[in-house]
Amino acid sequence: MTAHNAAPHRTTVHAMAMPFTVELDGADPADAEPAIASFHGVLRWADDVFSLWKDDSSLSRHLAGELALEECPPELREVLEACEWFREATDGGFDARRRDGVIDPTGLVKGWAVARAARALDRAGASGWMVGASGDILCSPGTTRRIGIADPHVKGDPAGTPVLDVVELGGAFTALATSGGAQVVDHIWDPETGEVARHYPQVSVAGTDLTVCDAWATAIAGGGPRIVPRALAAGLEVLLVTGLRHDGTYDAQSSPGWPSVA
Amino acid sequence: MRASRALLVAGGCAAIVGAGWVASPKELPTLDLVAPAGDRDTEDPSSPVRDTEDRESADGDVNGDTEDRESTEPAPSPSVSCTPDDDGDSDDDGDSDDDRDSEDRESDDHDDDRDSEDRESDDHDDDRDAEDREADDDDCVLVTPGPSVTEPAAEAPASATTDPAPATTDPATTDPTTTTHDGPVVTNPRGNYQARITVADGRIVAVDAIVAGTSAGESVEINAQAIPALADRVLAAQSANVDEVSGASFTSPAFLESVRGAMADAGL
Repeated sequence: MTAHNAAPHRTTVHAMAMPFTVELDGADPADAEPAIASFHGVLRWADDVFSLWKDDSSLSRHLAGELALEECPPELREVLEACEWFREATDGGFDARRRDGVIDPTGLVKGWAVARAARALDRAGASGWMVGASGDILCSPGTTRRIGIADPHVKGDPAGTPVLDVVELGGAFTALATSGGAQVVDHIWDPETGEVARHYPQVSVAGTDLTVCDAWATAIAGGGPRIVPRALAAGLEVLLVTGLRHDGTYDAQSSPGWPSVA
Repeated sequence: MRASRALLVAGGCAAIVGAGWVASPKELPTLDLVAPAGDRDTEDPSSPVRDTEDRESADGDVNGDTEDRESTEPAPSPSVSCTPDDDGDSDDDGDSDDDRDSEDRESDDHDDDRDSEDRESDDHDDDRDAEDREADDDDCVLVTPGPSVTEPAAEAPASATTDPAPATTDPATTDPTTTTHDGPVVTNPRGNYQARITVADGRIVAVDAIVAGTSAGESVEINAQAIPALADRVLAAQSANVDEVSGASFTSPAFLESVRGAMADAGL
């Protein structure tokens, strides 16, 4: 492995209709490209298995009664079981069961798939890596990185926009997930009321496992303040944007260990 | 098993009620007003011993009234402090009121004793909350707070209502100008919330949550932990040198562009 380029190798791949930015520190391009292709392959595979927007995905066919769970890839059962596990762990804050009875693990799939795909990046021969998964961040431990928390008003890719807070990842925390904001409006529902959740304009959760952070961020956004103590008890740190002030600043709450460096 | 136990307790309570009623019926209205029936509607699964000792002690009703929910007569209860929408356990409130009355009458001359016992019963707040979920007796609490502060005689029982913080009860028992007021139970989809304020010499000296969240004891505990755990902050958008930005999921611009292209292609 040769690490003579100082600039990290940065590539963006698309899957699940979302951009995934991969940054490899000091990787030989000859090693980096296959690793990123492999990373991309896992995400596309996950889309083929879990997408509810594709009629021929394993999940769609399973829900349509065309495929028994046993006939689906074992990972489908794994994810559905993880949904149930998180539903219990978050006291119902995260609940993949939609009101119409459809199991919708979409809230978990991205984080899960990225965590899985990122294993390929360990084989890239890089001294460190980071994935920007359409708003969620996962990085290797060892190299600290400054990650901004997006302004909830920013639509689309928040890269390069002013941020509300800056946290450090790569040390005690290697995963960061954010839910809410201006992106996909009203796509999280409150499992308890079935209504669209509007507890917080934006919820960020820092931890070490992107699947976990993603699920808890969704759970807090959906279930509201009652879920927060459980997230803290699970060892996670949170930043909750609670409201917008008239002067354009935001009211927020953060847990004691929130890794802010702003 | 439970039925016979309930009968036993009910009988004991009825006896106390009867004796108390005969002894000093005139005390009833005052005492009824101050002791929220809901507060007394405690069934403490953690200490069955209490059950028996309570029956002859001042707190007998604490367990008694939960058990004779269906069994006893409404009894002489000039001011059942309950809203009628209770699900079938309204007579239990009547009983609990009466029980309290009778016992109050018995121990009337030494309020302090009652208070100390009540403080003991304070420990069961959580259980009471859990019980409320099933009994829905919060309604009863609704109507009681006002009267509880109207006259000094009301004080001891008012402070005697279950209070999570014994510290706030103490002044109430010693200082005749200290009173506690229970706010109404406010219900939202997350659960029931009820505040209690302690007033001394016209000033609020303590605010306690006696019911918070889902009304389960666990929830009260969690809420209490959570509130100080989060630090309030004011955040402003700032330009900062960052490696990446975390925000809510967003769709690939390329994908959107592709969708637009497809829509144009389809003549939409």
